[in-house]
Amino acid sequence: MKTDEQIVEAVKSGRREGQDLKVGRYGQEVFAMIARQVPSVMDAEELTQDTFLKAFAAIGHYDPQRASLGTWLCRIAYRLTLDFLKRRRQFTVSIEDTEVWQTDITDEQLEAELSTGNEERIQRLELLIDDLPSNERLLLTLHYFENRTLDECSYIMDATPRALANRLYRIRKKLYKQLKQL
Amino acid sequence: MKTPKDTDLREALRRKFEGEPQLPADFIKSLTSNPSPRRGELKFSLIWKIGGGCCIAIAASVLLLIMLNIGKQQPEQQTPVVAEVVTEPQPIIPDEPVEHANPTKSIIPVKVAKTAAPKKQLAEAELPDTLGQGIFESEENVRLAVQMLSECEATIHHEEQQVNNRIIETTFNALPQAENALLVTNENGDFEVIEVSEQTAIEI
Repeated sequence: MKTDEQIVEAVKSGRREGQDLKVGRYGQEVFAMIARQVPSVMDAEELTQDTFLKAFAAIGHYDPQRASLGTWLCRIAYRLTLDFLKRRRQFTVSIEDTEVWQTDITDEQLEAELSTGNEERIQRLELLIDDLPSNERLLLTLHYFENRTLDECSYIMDATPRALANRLYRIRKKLYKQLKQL
Repeated sequence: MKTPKDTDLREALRRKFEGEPQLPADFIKSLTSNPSPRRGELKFSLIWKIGGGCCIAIAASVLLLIMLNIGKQQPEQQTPVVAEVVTEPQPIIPDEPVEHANPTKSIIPVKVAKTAAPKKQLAEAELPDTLGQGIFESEENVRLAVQMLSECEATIHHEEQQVNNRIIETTFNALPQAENALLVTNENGDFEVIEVSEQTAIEI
């Protein structure tokens, strides 16, 4: 099995094999990440194509010291998806809800509330995730579903790890408050 | 090992995105063989739209220019060439008297009106190529009109002559005439009553 470095070298030398390996290994990962943000599968496929074409063209700028090849591809995909959603006016930014912010609950309490194992609560959370703005949903999926570290998330979403930690805390608090309202 | 927190949230996300769509199997082939076909089609259709729009705009402009040109030319082309013929018995001094074909016949002066001058003088650059042709055509029309007039004159003159001759003849026959009076035709074809000597009358 070839390493990321070998794949990158193959792509740099313009060999077809390198492109095939790269797409074969990371295609589904990139496509899945995009498909969670855009509603149409066809749009997701097209954005995946664009991501790889851009990556092939900009392979010279890839720095393996900063991130893995998969994370670098996800960063390109995130930017393209963000542009796409802005063009379609489907990109929404969450407005700071002062009521949520002022909710007096500690991180430990939140963790306990979101770790009950209650089936009804899990189903409610499934519905509430749909209503989240796309950037918040992406952060949740990257961190909780793909188990990426905050450093990786910060590289993909071009934000500091601390800012993302705060954003995650607010999202969890918002979900908790909405669970209480239902 | 640290236990993952927010298990409800993780489980909800797992259920939600578990059955996420898979990348098509021929994705690699389509990516390397035909990169971004939809975008290519979009560019193609965009080029056609822009090109078609330009063609239509150019065609419309040309059509408009042609219509404007025709609009300018038509009033001049349709300017009637009027040949005003004055046939009054009173002699009129013509601007340009026309020579009659037969000098022996009476010449009725003809006044030929000139072609009505265009009210608006076109700029030199706007002058049509057929401008000179119109002048020649008007001259030809005048010539034809004069020819027709001459024929009319000849007919009228002939009929007048016949009527006069009949009157003269009837009068000559009806009234008692001197023995030496004779009805003759002069060189113009008019009847004339002349008196001749008795010798001549006997010979006739």
